[in-house]
Amino acid sequence: MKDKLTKFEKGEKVKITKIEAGKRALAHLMNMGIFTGNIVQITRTSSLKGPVVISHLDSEIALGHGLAGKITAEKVQ
Amino acid sequence: MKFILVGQPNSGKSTIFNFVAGYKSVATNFPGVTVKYTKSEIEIHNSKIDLIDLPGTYSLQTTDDAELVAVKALMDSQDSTIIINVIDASVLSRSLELTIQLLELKKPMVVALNMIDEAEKKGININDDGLSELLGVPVIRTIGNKGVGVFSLFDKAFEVGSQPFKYSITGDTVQKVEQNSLHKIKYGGIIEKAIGQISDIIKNGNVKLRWNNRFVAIKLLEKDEIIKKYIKDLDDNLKHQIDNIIKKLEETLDEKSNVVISSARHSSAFDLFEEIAAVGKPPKRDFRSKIDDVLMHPVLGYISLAVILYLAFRIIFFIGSVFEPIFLDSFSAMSDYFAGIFGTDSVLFSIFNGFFTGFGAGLGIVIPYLLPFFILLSFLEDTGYLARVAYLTDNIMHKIGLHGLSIVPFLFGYGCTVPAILATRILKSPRDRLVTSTLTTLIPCSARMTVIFGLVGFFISMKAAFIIYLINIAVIAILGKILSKSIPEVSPGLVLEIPKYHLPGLKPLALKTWFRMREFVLIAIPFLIVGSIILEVLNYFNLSEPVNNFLAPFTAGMLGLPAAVGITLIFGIMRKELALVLLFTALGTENVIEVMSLGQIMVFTIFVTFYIPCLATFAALAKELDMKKAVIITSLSVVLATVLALITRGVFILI
Repeated sequence: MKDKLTKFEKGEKVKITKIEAGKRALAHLMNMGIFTGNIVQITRTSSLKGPVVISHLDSEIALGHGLAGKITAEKVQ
Repeated sequence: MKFILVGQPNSGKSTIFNFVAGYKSVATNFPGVTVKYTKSEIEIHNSKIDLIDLPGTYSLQTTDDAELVAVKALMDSQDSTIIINVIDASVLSRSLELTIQLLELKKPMVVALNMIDEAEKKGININDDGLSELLGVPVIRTIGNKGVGVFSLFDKAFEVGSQPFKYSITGDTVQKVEQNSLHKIKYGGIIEKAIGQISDIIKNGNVKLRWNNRFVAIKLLEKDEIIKKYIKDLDDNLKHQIDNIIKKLEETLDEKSNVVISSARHSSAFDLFEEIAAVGKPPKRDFRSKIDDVLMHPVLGYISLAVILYLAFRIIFFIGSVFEPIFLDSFSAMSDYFAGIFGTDSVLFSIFNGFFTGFGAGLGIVIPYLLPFFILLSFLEDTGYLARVAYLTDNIMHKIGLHGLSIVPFLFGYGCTVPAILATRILKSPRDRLVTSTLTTLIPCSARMTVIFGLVGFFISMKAAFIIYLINIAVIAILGKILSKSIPEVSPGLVLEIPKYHLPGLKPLALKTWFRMREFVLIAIPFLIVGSIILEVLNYFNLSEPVNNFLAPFTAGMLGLPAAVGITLIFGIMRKELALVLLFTALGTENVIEVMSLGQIMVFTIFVTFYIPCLATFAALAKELDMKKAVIITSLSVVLATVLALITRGVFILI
């Protein structure tokens, strides 16, 4: 089931299906190696509209709540 | 010969730089912008070499000014420049994306496989010979914070620089490239075809370019602004052809060409990683990630933050209070000595006295607090904790239109505003820097703290003093909201790497502290000295009377304060804590409560807390932003202070 990145549980592995960020945010994400099709793990969920932390390619990246909301993903097993 | 260190943020690049550059290195501005890079001179085999540490950049596709200047500096570098690409081996796959782009520049290069110990801890075993072969450039293993491999790295760079360089950068790529062309990284078939076609067009266009055609073609596919400027000489027909190729590629793949390129590079980097790295059994969950279960916890995280900051400030004030009297006593002894020579009643004495009190204030009041402050903050930064603070405060900062990283200058601000303004450099967008700098000037620095606690805390109550801090935070939040609304910008949102915790080395920590300290001393101390000399001379010629009379309509009329405080407000511009010391002199008593009502004390303190950042802050603002903005921020602070003081006066009249 596809949903926003902010909606997943801690520890879940998700596949990014769509990134609808602006030009600069998109460039940022690409620079950090985050692309559509990547499988990332949710390390920390957003609380109080705080950032979501994902683990990807051995590093942890915090994504602001707003930005994470523009990324769609689906759970993978 | 020149070495340029390039790497992604947190790759340990600056640690390697500091390890060899030492205390002599200087932070320099790129021409025309406030982005800093650090440079030094080192000696290898009796040759002098310029060593340059560029700001960290994730890729050559720029997203902000800092990256833009880094990339420009790289692209404009001469053949005699050797690129040292520092890679965090523990995040090898992602780091290789930058490496691939650097290789596309076809300039002499060495790769430092840094933090190799971290990688091994994670179970990643890297075949560095294999990597070197695939990349076509030497690869050296290093552990920057321990200095392991650093000298071999520079030796290798020197060796590369001493060999005749075989890359062609004049235009046509393949034929002239003999050595070091091993790197086989290719994009997918359709993309390579587009790259080839664009390269041919550029080649036929007969434009003098400083880079190989393939690099330019890739950059054009990336829609890179810098390159676009350089190919403006290309005739319109050719440009049109290039646009068509890009359009066709985008239609075929149903994706923007810049995303196509990055995405393909991302896969190449991953393939490369798979080929040369063996990932062993992932180790047991690192105990360090357990630390984050507390420090980044939605509740415990904030409690820990409060405790850590509280402890940090306790330590700072403990150390400061031990050293402050030692410095101050020696300077007042110096002043007595000169009084003996010149007599107290001479202009010359006033000048000397001003000089020494200014110098003494810098050394005696500021440094005992600022030095431990810098050490602790650098420590928190190097361990990786500040990134967690940014994570924790991101949602709060969003409410005032900023994001998590702005917390760092704010924290500095409670120590001293000057380094706080310098710390806004970590912010990417100029708008975020402007808003954060403006708000930072309002944060009560340690000098203003002495006024708040010395007056309100002492004569009214500690509770009242804390209320001033709360009012201050509220005002900053409201002003932040207003400023962000009036300078709208689509914020790209927070994309922040949370680095692994690690214990910073002593030497990098000492150097970092030293650089910050040196910057403070160079900006602030001259102003403290000049300010104090002016004040002493004013005093000598007994000018407080006319100054007070001049300011009376404002001080006595509007704010309802004793006219005698006029001169103290002028002194406060030079150094905020002087407002307190001078108030005692101006009123002729240390027991302020005899001559001022509680309301007046409150009004005075509120005004002093918010009005004009001190001269040194003004200098820092002018340096980091520009003169005009510094004047605007200063004027804004006076208006704000007046409004708040009037409100306070109103409140005290009512109750």
